[in-house]
Amino acid sequence: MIDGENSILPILTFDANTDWASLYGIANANALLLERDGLARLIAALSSSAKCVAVEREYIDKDYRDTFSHFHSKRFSTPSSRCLRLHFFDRQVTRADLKEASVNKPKRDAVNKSYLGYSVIRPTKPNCIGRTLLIPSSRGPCSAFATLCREQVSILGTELEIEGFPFISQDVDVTVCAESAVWMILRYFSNKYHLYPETYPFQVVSLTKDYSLGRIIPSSGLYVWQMAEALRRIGRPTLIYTRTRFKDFDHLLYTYIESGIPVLAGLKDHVVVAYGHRSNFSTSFPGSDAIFTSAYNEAFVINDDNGVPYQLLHKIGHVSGAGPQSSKYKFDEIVDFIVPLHEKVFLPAESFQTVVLAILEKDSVFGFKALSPSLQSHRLVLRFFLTSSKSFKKHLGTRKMGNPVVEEAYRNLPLPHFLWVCEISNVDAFSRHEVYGEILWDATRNAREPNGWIALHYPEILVVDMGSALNQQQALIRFDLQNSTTYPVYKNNLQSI
Amino acid sequence: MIDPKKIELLPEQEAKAKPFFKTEEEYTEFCRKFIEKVGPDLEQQREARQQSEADAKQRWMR
Repeated sequence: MIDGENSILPILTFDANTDWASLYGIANANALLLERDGLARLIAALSSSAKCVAVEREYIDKDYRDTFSHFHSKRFSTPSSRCLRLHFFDRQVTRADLKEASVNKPKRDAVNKSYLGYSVIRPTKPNCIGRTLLIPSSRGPCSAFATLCREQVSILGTELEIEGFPFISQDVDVTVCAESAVWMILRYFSNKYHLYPETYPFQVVSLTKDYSLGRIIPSSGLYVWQMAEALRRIGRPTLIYTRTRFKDFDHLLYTYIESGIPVLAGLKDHVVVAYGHRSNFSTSFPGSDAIFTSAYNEAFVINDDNGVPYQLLHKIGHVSGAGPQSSKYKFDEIVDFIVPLHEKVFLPAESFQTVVLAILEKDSVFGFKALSPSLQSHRLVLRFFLTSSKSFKKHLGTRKMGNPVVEEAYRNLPLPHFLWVCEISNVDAFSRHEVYGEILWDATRNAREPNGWIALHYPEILVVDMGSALNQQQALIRFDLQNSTTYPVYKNNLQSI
Repeated sequence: MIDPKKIELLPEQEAKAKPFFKTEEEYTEFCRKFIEKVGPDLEQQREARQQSEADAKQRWMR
């Protein structure tokens, strides 16, 4: 059924007479905007969920208008400056529903609940898929964890909210995969934190102009270091990791993603954004060494500008039968990655791992073998991540931290802006997503400072540095704990998708 | 300046908390051993970072 075929906002509800081919017809009623390849990508991304599409004609898209102004408008043959924006719903939504939702909150909530997100269709060839934000469940079941951001969307005056990870395909002229991937990360940051400015495609290209030879558009690509510089200039200083140089490459990549930081993952001559993972916590491993939680990871959640949002890049490569939502790449094809850190994070993941393991496993004074009989009876599972102290403290009340002394001490303790955390669990407890303790490390420290740790918590003891809390020399005090229990893992960095 | 030994994280902390190290020497020894333990790894990481950055100047994405 098509409601208002000739209106500014035709609404298609899929039924026996109306399908994706009907959308192709409506979208291209006045000019060819939605290319066959673009339609195929939308079907791949949404066929399992979309039941209704509202086609917003004459849409002025801020990102496409930016490239239009700086590139397309300078050409003899110019495409339209306008776009289409397609809004997808998982059930029939009528014009009356949308109108009523603008003044009726329960109605708006109901419409919002069925909203799957939007995709801007640009008049660019060969890739017409512009700015896109879909909710993760639009792709069907995923069973993964990812970091997401929110946007407000207005349809016929009704404001809806959507949470997802931004996606855009390369337009081949102003942006290729490198700029598209940088755009996706920057849009995530500007959506999520007011600290970062919204950056449009031509601005992304311009961020590298001081580090380029010759012209910057049409783009022929970027060096890895140019992408890193673009992110640094927008306020996210980067670290670059190459697989052949870091022995724990996959673990480090996982650790940053587990910290809620989207990264640029470089393949042989392509780049994607990785921002989530899918782990199988029932996997068992031979041996007795501590297990890092990265070992459970079987896929990264990625946005590949040549594919569809929320693809899974599996450890073993493309999973047959998974269709276009499974990436053709596999873990060992990731050559390098760029992690855009907050400017107040100085200690990198690999150094945190070194210093925390030096305390936990190797130290005769503070190691778990010296201080915690209970942790010695089972094989340890260790989870490493970065978080803000604000978020860490926010969840103390719900997590309880296994002991009221620990909860209260952490609540009162002055902390740095960012913390590295090593959660300590064992195979049994971690299968229930529970831990026994943690070591907190100041992320603003340098690795060679032995006094960078803030707290060490085992079931039997809490050691806290009161010195650094007061900006003085390290002064370690101990609290002996009794009747400690396990407690939930920290979950704020990623969301279940 | 606030004395870290006197400020309380918990009410009536004095009864519950005690300094971890008994002497300054014990603490100094811990710091020395710690730096000794982590030094080689950190040096390797510094080299790996430099090499990664050099690699990044050669890798072209399109």
